[in-house]
Amino acid sequence: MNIKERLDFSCAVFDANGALVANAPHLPVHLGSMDRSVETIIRARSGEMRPGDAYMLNAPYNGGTHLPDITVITPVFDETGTRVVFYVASRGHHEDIGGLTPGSMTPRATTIEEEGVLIDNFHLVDRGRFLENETRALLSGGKYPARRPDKNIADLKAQIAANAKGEAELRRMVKHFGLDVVSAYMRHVQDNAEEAVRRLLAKLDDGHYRVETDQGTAVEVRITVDRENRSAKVDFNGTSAQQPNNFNAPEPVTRAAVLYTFRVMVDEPIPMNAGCLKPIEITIPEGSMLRPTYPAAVVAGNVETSQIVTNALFGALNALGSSQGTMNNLTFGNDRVQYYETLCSGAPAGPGFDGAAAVHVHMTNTRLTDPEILELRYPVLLEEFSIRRGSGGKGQWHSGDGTRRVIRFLERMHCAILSGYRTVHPFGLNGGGPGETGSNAVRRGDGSVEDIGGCAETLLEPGEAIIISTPTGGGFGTP
Amino acid sequence: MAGQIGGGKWHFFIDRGGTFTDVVARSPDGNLKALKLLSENPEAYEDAALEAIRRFLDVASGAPLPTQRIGAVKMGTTVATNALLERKGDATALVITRGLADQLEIGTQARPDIFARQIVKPEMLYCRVVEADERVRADGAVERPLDIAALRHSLAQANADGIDSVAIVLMHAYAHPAHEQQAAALAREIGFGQVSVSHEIAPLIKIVPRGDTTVADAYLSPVLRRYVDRVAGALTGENADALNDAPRVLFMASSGGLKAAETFRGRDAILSGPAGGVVGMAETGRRASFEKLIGFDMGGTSTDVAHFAGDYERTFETQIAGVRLSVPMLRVHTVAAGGGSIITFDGMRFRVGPESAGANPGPKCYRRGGPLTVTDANVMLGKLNPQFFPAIFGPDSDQPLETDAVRTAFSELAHEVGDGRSAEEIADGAIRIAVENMANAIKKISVERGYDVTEYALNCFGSAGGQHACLIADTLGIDTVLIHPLSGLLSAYGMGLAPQRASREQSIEAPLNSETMHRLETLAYELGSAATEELLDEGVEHDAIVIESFVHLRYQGTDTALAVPLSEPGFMLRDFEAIHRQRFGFVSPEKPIFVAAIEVAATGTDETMAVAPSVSGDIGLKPGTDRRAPQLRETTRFYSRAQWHDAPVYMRGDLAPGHTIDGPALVIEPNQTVVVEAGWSPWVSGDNDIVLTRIEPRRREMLSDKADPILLEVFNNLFMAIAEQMGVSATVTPR
Repeated sequence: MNIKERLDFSCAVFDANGALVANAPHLPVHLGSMDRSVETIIRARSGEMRPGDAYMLNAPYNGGTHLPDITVITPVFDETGTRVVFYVASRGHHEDIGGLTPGSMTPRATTIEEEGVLIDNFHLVDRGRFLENETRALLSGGKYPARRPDKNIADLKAQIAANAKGEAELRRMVKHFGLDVVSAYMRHVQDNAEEAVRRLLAKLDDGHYRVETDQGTAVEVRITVDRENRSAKVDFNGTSAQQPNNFNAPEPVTRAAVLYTFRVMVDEPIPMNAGCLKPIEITIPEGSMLRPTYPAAVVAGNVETSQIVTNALFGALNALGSSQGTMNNLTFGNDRVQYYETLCSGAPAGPGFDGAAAVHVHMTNTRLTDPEILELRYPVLLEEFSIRRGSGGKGQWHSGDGTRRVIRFLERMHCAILSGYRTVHPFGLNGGGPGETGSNAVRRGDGSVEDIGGCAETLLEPGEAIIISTPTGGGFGTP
Repeated sequence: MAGQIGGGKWHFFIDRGGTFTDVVARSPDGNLKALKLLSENPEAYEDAALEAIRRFLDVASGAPLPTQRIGAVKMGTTVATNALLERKGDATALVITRGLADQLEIGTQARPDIFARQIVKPEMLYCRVVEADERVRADGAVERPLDIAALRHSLAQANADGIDSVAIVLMHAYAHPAHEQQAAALAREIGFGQVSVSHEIAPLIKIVPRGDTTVADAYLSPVLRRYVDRVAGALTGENADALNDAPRVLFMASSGGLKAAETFRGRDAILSGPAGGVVGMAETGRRASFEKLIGFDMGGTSTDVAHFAGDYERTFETQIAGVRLSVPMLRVHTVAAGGGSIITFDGMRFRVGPESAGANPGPKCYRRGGPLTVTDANVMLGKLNPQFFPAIFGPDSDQPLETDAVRTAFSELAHEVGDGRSAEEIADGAIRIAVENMANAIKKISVERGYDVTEYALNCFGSAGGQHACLIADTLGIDTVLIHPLSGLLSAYGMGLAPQRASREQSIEAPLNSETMHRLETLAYELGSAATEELLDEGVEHDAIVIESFVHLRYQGTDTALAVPLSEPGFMLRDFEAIHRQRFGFVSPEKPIFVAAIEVAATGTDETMAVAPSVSGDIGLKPGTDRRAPQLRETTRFYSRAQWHDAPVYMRGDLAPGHTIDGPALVIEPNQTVVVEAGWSPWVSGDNDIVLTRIEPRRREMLSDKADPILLEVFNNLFMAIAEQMGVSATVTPR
């Protein structure tokens, strides 16, 4: 469901050193973080890889971002089968990878074990043979095993198939142009992307921003531009320390946010590859919530903190007003079904334009399941999905309007919400007003409505409903 | 010889495009004639299609048409497409289930360009939303009956406010339409001129695309109706002696079938023109004995590509101008690359398109101060020669293509690049990027879907196709290129070759078992009867109607359904697996099979087109079986693939069946230039087609591993295409 309906996956091609060459990004958060997974495999498996092998990982402290996102990596060998010349990788969001609650997006976890099955550099395919038994044992093991390993295995097979397609196409290309030429152009396209970003840097100003969160933490960033050398330092010193919740974001998440932000700033269809980050030095303090250490829980880092980091970056660049700063991660399920969705608000305001209403922004772009499919496959009824007209932050330029979603359950269902900006208002920029906060509530059987806060788990009886209002970004410029 | 084909009357096949209206006429003696007119020329004529007919029939402009001399008019039109693109449809109200007023605006919540600083969402087509107080569950259970009184009040108000079109879209109506039927009856009673109801327009699951389709139908149908009535009125008006004697007026639907004027509606009309192109390329290819074809239609701003291997491929989900459409449409992939694509250099890397110089100012060589484009590159290289191009440029429309400004601009560009490469090398490189872009588009509809494109023939048409056909074929490893004598107007010709077609679809969403089989058989009969009725009403003879039923199957847990002919479950499973293996490279026998939908199509073939018509001298062709070497008018030279080539120039009119030429050469047609690259040899077939064959093996290109601004772009796009193909593979794998 996640990979196909929501397009919560990405595929990419890497050079022999594991540097990103090309990426078909459905989600920006996957961009600029997958190479860390490839680097991990190269580091750990160099010398022992054989043609037909594939590896997988989701380990947030070793190349991954959060447990539901599993990356499958396939080395591509030269004609003699002795030397790895490229890598291909695919990352997909799995519906469930175990942990405290169905859908593996629990707000309750304080350690990584409680979030599900940790996969660290696992040999998935051995010379063409899918290691199904070993994989099943891994998924079914641990304190909180995956609830439906069959589904994971089917998803993994799809990822392996995607990699096989990439491998075949790369071989076709080598046959046509020769390995030397293809390898050389893998370097050239990176140099080209690097140059495009350097040109942008030569025009940027220094900046600083600090963004507060509902958790009482802050993400702080200082951007220092060296126009002469056309390089920049992006320093996250001042950011809060690692937290006893799951908003900790492994380092690749912040890297992805930086890459995304600078790509947006370039405003041109430049190639997206490892070259983009070469002129940018990123400093993230060890032990901060943006570079946590084992065994901190991290599931919200990828989906929540990434949006906060992006807001901080655009704030520091004075380029875009704030977005809602959250993805409103809703999961529900029981032993039979699991479901995950993220909900949009409006788009940020910017110099010269108002934000559009009701559309996914920044680090996510997942598609929402069609209401009729949702109701056909899950015991729910969508009572309302509407735009909260007039809710966008005011300013010279207004932020886009948020949404309201009411889902009634027809069966007893476990429900979890992971969201932000329920108490803190998204900031206005350059004199713009703040956005509105969001809210999560449950309408109980007796008609009472109970606010459940930004991060909560609850059990809903048939007839009860969850009501989510998404927060809105702040305005841009003095009204 | 051809005698009284078509009852001794004239037949007209018309493609009314945005810029040009192409007309292929078949005269009473069976000969084909062609005419190209500007679609809009208010000083000269009111309507291009009717004007063309008058010219063929030798009737004064504005005079009544002698309708008794016309057998049939078959027409594709972009009227609805343009109204959609320009948001110029009729004011439309949307009636939707309470609570979901904004659902179509939110859509899937995804943004089209993930790196856009300012996100721009497509403008909605409706101008008012009326929430219907009602609710039906997925299983058909009625939670809340429709509040008719409240709906009556809101709809009456909308109608009183001047809204005459209404789209009715209620949850789960694809399977449980009772509430929609009640709402539709009410809207008609109130007096709306256009009532589009989702379960009639597109009875398929997913309220967002079904809703979008229904709104588009309500919004576009009145505009289309006014145009259709005007054309049909002029053709069947008071001048017809008797009803039987009136010409048949048929319009091309996006599905590749013709519709009677009365049943042609907005939802069917969006890809009317491109559908004619697909039919044209498939039917002319089939007549030239090619079974596997890639249609390559390159025009000024874009290129349409299509795949044909014996059956027309239709898709039920397309997105055009921000509107998701779930109606059957021939599968056409469009890429923003054409003769007008603009060449840019950012100091490191060349790009070609997606921006286009458009019709105005057009390429630099059109003498209106336009930017450098692909067309200019061909002028620079000597592939387009002003001597053989109509002199229609300049303030008095009498100047040839301009070459000096083009040369100067490319020289300046070469100077800017500053690595010693010549202006010709720059232009050659720009062509290479454009060719790779178009080849990647063809890979999307072939290689990416599991077809080996090297086994195909490229059926090349459109105004800029012939300049690039050999290069495209070489890039893809294709050895045969077909260029039909009417390649400049093949879409119009396709209108004439298409059958009449009526289809019905219905979502099923149930496992493939005996209960579902029973339902399928019942539905096949019901839907088939309805489709047959429609064709009979449109005047098709009963015996000429063929019914085909397809079942859309998918593995449980996937969203990619494949169509197989309705038959015993075992046969359907076998067909499904065969297609699945071919398309995706594997099958999953352990997965349960689901029936997504049933589709029943009735087609009626026009007997009068069964005879291959001969081609008239009016378009510059000599029928016959001339086997002498063609007359050589002169020689020129052009630059291609990093070197100069001496090339003879042949006039298409001098080429006759049996003639064979060796490339490099130029063939000048009335509506386009065919560049025959080195290693290719054109031969003129008995039907007067040009068939280009690769006669020398392709040499492997020896590239330097030094960074080249042209190849940078080429490789960037190739690497991206690989990542994208991986993504497609991941989405179709069942789990």
